[in-house]
Amino acid sequence: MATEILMPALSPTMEEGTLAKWLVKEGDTVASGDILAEIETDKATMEFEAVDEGVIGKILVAEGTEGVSVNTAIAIILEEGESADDVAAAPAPTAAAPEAPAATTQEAAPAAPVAVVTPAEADIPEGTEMKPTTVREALRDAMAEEMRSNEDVFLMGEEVAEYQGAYKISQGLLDEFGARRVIDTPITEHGFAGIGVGAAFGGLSPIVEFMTFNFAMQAIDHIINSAAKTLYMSGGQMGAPIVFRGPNGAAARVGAQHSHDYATWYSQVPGLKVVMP
Amino acid sequence: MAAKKPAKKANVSKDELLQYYKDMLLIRRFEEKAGQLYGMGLIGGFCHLYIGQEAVVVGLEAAAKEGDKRITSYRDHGHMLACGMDPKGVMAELTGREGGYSKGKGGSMHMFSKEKHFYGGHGIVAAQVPLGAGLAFSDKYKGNDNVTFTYFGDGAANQGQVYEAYNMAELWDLPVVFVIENNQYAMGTSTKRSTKSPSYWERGAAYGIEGEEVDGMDVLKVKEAGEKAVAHCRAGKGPYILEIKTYRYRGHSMSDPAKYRTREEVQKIRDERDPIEQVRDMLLTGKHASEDDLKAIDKEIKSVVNEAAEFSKESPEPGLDELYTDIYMEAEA
Ligand SMILES: Cc1ncc(C[n+]2csc(CCOP(=O)(O)OP(=O)(O)O)c2C)c(N)n1
Ligand SMILES: [Mg+2]
Repeated sequence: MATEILMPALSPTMEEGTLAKWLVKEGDTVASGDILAEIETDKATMEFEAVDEGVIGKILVAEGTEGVSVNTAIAIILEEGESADDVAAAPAPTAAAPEAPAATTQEAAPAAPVAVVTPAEADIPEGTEMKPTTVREALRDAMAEEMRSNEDVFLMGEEVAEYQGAYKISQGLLDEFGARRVIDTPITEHGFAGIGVGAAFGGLSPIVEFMTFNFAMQAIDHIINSAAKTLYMSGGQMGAPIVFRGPNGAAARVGAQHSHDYATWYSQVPGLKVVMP
Repeated sequence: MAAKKPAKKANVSKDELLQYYKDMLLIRRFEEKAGQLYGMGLIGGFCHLYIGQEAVVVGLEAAAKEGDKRITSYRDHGHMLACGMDPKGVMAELTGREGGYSKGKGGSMHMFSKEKHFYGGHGIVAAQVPLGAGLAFSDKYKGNDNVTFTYFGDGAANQGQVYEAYNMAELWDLPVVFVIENNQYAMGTSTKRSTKSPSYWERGAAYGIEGEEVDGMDVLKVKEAGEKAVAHCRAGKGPYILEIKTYRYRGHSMSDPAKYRTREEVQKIRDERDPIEQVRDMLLTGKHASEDDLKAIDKEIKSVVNEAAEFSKESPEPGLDELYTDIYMEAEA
C-alpha cells in the first residue's frame, strides 16, 4: 500500500517549515535511513530521513515551498508492484492538516507577528518606529546591544556559542563577539554560576544562561547566597551585577522536571530582580 | 617553648623575617583579643579563630603582588589582616558596628575590601572556590597578570563544586591558586573520618592540575611554594594547587566542645611546630633580633590590637534603617 510521507516536526515547538530541497526524485528507490529532503525550521536546517522503503511515487510539495504545516503530506512512497497511476486514482490523501495545504500557508508570515500592539502604559516616545520581531530575536538583540556598548558584558552557558543556543537565543553572537565573550561551558551549573558571580565580583557584567531554570536548581546557592546577598553583607561595598537568564515555566509535554515556574520563588529573595516576558 | 628544630640557613633577609614575625603575631594577638571580646558578649554569632594557621596567609601574601586577589571562607580574620586591611575595621565588624568593613551587616564571616582586593568572607562551605575561579576569570578576560588566591578547608575539599571549578579553571587556564588549608578537621570531623583519599592536592591530577603539599607551620616554605604557584599562574599555565598542612589550636568556633581530639594532640603541635615560635627562634639564633627587640614588637602589636578593640566598642551600632539599604544598587540619578 502506498505510504504518505508527512512534513515532520523537527523540534518540540515547530508548527511549520520550509521544504528547502528534495534529495530524491520521483522514481527513486529509497530505504529507511536515506536522506529524503532538507527542511528548514525557524531555528535550523535539518535533514529528513526515510522511515519506510519503497519507490518515490509522487512528490506533492515542491522544493522551496515555505510555510508547510507539520503533518502535511509531502510525498508518496510506493510499495513494490504499485504504480504512481494507482495512487493518482486513489482518493485524496487525508493529511492531518488538509485544510492547510502548502500552497495556501505560503502566504502566511512564518514567524513574525503581523500586527504590533503597543500597550497603552508603555513608556515609549511618540513617533517611535515599531518593528515586528520574535521574543527570541528580541532577547538576542538586547544582549548584542549591551555587548556592543560594554566590553565587560559576556555570555556564558551550555551550548550558547557553537551550537548557537539550545533554544537559539544566542544565534549569531559567537560570530559577532568571538569565543572570548561567548563561552560554552561544560554541564556544570553549580560551578559556572559560581564562576559567573566571581567574575561579577571582579568587575565584569556576566550573562549566565541556564538551558532552563529547572537546571538552575543546582546553582541556586550561588544565585541566592553568593549573588543576591553580597551587596548587603558588604555594607554596599560590592555586589554582583549579573544576569541569569533562561526559559522558565510551562513547556509542552516535557514532564515536571522541565516545566517548573520558579518566578515566584526568586521574587521572594531580597537582592534579586525577576523579569519575565 | 622554642621550636625544637635548629634554625636552618634560609634564603631570607632579616627584614623579611621580622616582617613575617610581626604579621603572624598581629593575627595571633588579634584573634586572642577577639576570643576575649566574644567571652565578654561583645561579639555575637559565630567567630572562627585562625590561631595556629598564621603562616599560611603570611607566607602566601609574601608571594603576592599588588593587584592579586584573595577570597576565603568564614575563617577569614587572618586573611584580612595579612593583606593589609585595617584591624579596627575588622574588629568593629566582629562587634557588629557601623565602623566595621560591612557597616556591621556582615559580621565575622563576611567582610570585603575592594581596595585590598579581598573578596570575602563566605559562609557556605566551598562556595568561594568557583567564586575564586570567577575572579581569576575576570583578570584573564581583562588581560592582566593578576592571580587569585582561593582558600578553602579540608572539609570544603569534599564538595562537588570544587571539582567543577577545577575542571573549568584548567580548561580555561585561569590564573588561580587553589589553597587547601588542611587543618585536619572540619568542625569535629577529622580527615580520617571524611575521606579515604586524604592527599587532597593529588585530586587535581584528575583535571590536569599540578600541585604540591606544603608544611604550613613553616612560613618560609609556604612563601617558597606560593612563589612557585604564582609563577605558574602568571606564565599562563592555568591553576595550581597548594595543600598546606596546618593546624588550628582553638575550637572550630567559639562554642566547640573539643571532644574530638585530645589536649595532648594540640599541645604537642604548639610545642613543636608553632609557626611564630619557629620564626622567633630564627631571629634570635641568627642574631637578627634580641629578646628586647622582640618584646618591643610584642608591645607595639598589643597596642594596635587594643586600639582596634577600643574602636570596636566605641563605634555605634548601625541604625535600624540599615536593614533596608544595600539590597539593590541605588538607581543612578
Ligand atoms: C554548605 C555548608 N554545609 C555546612 C556548613 C556548616 N559548616 C561550617 S564550617 C564547617 C566545617 C568546614 O571545615 P573545613 O572546610 O575543613 O574548614 P575549617 O573550618 O577547618 O577552616 C561546616 C560543616 C556550611 N557553612 N555550609
Ligand atoms: Mg578544616
